[in-house]
Amino acid sequence: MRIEIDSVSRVFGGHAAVDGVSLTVGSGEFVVLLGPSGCGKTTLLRLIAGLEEPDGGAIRLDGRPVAGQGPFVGPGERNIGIVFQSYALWPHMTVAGNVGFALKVRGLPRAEREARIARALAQVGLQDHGRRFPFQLSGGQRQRVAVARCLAMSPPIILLDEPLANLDPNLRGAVLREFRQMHRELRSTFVYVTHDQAEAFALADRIAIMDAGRVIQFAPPREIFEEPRTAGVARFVGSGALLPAELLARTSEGRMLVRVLGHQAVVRCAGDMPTGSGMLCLKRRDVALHRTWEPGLIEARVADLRYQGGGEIAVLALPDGQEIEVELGRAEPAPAMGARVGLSARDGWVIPGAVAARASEAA
Amino acid sequence: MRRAGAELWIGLAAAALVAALSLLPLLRLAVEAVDPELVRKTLSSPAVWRALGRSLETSLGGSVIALLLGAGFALAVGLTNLPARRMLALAVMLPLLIPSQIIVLAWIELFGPATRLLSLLGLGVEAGTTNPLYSAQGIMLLLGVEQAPIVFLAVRAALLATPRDLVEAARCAGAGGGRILGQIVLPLTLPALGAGFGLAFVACLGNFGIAALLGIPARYATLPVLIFQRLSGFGTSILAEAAVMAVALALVAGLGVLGVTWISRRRDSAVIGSASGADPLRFDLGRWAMPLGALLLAAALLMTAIPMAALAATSVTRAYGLALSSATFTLDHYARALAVPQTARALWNSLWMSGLSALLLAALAIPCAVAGLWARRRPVRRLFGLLGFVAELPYALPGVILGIAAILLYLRPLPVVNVTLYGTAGLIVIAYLARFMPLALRPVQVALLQVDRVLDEAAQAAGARYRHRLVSVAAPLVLPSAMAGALVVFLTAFNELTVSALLWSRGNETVGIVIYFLEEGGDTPGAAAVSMICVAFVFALAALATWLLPAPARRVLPWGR
Ligand SMILES: Nc1ncnc2c1ncn2[C@@H]1O[C@H](COP(=O)(O)OP(=O)(O)OP(=O)(O)O)[C@@H](O)[C@H]1O
Ligand SMILES: [Mg+2]
Repeated sequence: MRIEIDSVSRVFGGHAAVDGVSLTVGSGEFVVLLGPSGCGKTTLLRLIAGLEEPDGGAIRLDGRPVAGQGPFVGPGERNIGIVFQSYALWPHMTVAGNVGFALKVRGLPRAEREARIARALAQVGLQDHGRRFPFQLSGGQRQRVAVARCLAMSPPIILLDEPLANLDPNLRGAVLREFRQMHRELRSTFVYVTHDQAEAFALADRIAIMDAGRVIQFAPPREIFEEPRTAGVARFVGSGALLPAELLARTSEGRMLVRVLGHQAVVRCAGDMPTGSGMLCLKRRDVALHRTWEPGLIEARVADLRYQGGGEIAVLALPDGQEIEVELGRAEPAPAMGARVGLSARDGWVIPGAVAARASEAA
Repeated sequence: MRRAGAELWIGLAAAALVAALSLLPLLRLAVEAVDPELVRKTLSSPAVWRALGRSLETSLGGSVIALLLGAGFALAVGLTNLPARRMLALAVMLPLLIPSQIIVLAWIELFGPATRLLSLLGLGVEAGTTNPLYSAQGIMLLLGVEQAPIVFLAVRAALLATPRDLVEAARCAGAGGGRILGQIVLPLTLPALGAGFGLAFVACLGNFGIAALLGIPARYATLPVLIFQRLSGFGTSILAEAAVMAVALALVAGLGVLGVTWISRRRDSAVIGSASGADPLRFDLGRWAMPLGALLLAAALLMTAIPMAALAATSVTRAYGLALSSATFTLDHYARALAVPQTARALWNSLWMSGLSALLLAALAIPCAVAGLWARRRPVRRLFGLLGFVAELPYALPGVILGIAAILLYLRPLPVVNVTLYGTAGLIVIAYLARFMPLALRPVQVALLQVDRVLDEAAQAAGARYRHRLVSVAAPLVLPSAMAGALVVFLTAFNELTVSALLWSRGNETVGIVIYFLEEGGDTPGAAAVSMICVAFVFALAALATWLLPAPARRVLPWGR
């Protein structure tokens, strides 16, 4: 089921928790809402669920208006499944009672209800736990019950609010894989909230990066990582350096000549990027190390050396205090600590800098 | 190791004091009541069985009414969009501040002549007929009104503690308001309903003021009233029998206390998820909100505020039987009541006895809580855990039990010093200390649990002695809560009747006693005047203290949440 969010806002006491967000999630897509604490992810999820009513804008599910246009459709009639961060299991009902509650509300006959409960519990590997109460389960099992409760209705939209936040780190990897598999099998639309980047990159078809109530970039993980639209996104997703740059001239479609800290290079940029001043986002594999500094190179000092994952890594301090890591070739002898070295940019990504981050981005 | 010495010494002293105050009288009572011959003789009296039956009957009836009133108002305030919900909540909690003997007087006056309130509704009592309140049903009704705030507070707290997620999950599952109420919200508040019912039941069992003022004219004596009547009729010669009756009452009440404990410890009632601190549901009553709100507010005011107005009217009407008007208005009853030396003395007695008890208990509560909660040794912490339970008993069990126990223990001269406490004000103060200790101890313990032990350990690392740490680290941190606890002790003890009804003697009357005997002796306007003085004093003090106490300590007060 397709979710269309059209310049939706939600204001709490004068403060916009969600501020004019537009976003379209395709049917069967897995979208992750990612952003720092308090940026409005949960509020956006609750707006989709119908637990909040927007103060402006409209929401449509498969083209049918559910909020903001015509009568408001409550959460019970939206056909969504939701997993709360706290799991929100009803403590006075058994596991089977929890999973079957929505089926009972819909008035399904007993036999079918039991078959569906059994199937949902089997999907999360808790076949034998139907008669237990939530307080008799471990944290991981409770999380599974919450997922099973959501799956029992086979909802076309599944919303998850930080479902791994209360889990043991050891369990998280396994559960992440299960979510991917579940998504492949169900073909439901998933909207998943997290503030953990690794989770987002592991799960998403597309990631919506949120900040202060707005979506600042909505793109596949690769693009988010390699072509961050704003300095904020670049800082949020990746280790690398952001350097002030003069944008000198367009060289070809999507490439541009820039000068950064006295060094000139041709790097990637957005198709409509004007010349002038901006920022260059440099990541580890974008730079080449030169043993000695000479004019025309970026000046740097070796701040640290460490061994990691089969290679030597040099941490280089730039003149403005930022640090960038460079992987040294296998045969290369490492430079001395504190040595002055030069850097050249093989590649990089241009971000409009000094200019305020651009507002929400439609799909 | 002088430091460990001080810790041990202070801890032991505190423990010994608590044990002497709370445990010793109850042990003495048990020793008195184990004689099988005595038990057989006492229990062969049909009057005792009848009184026990009446106690059970009125307590069950009273707690059912309290449950209906308290839960009904809590759900209305917590789950709907009624107007003036805050005022409604205050009106329901009003009986907390007004002692039961005064509520009874007020209700009697509601049917009385001064305001002719109920005659306006055609419900008035005709001259010459008896007031319908003098009956088992009247006792149940007033017990219910008196205990309704207990249930109200329990259910209200449970509603506020219900995680919003649980209700939202049900909404997402498609459940409507009725189903959410019936299958999610009510089941989650069931433990609170049970606990509230149990607490109300135990409190009803111990009630003396309502049962005596309404029951004695109707020749309907509950067990506490029977004990009181026997003791005032036969004096201490009947003490052994009274002890057996008290133990019988304690056993019934003990069952109630166990029930409450069992309900609140059940594990499946432990809610998973974070409390929202907001009400989980808000039913929109639409155009019914206004009329329903007015109706409920009227009902809540009828519980206490309107009867109190009737009592006030009686206290300023020239002669009993007249209606209040500008022609019949007078302040004579106040002047007359205060001119009686006994009344003035009783006001002074209640003032200093409850003031002294409050101060001593607050002072005792701090070292007790610190010794128990900050003890390094496990056995010490366990000892204090046990003592905490023992200290609860004189308060949880009906007041007559402590009264009889205290008489038994202090009837004879104390060994060594050879002083007899029986018949002195000292006995009443000692009984107050035992009975109201939990009211002072609980808030200090709660406050201390929130203090990070690191503060104490830092002082310890800095080389501070135990005594010094107690005075300069722990005490200042818990002082506001200790003060709030002392205030609750003072307000409760000031209006106390049950214990002082058994322990008073000439010269040591309390206000509760004086009001009781004025009403019993037929001087209703005089009783009304003294009652109004007490209520005005208590309200003024409560308001002043609420205003002066810092916010966290204010939570200790039942009306401060
Ligand atoms: N019911 C509410 N009333 C008032 N303010 C609210 C309410 N719900 C959310 N907010 C505010 O809206 C902002 C966004 O909240 P939201 O819960 O959506 O953040 P979040 O991105 O989910 O954060 P986190 O990662 O910490 O869960 C916050 O500033 C929060 O304080
Ligand atoms: Mg959140």
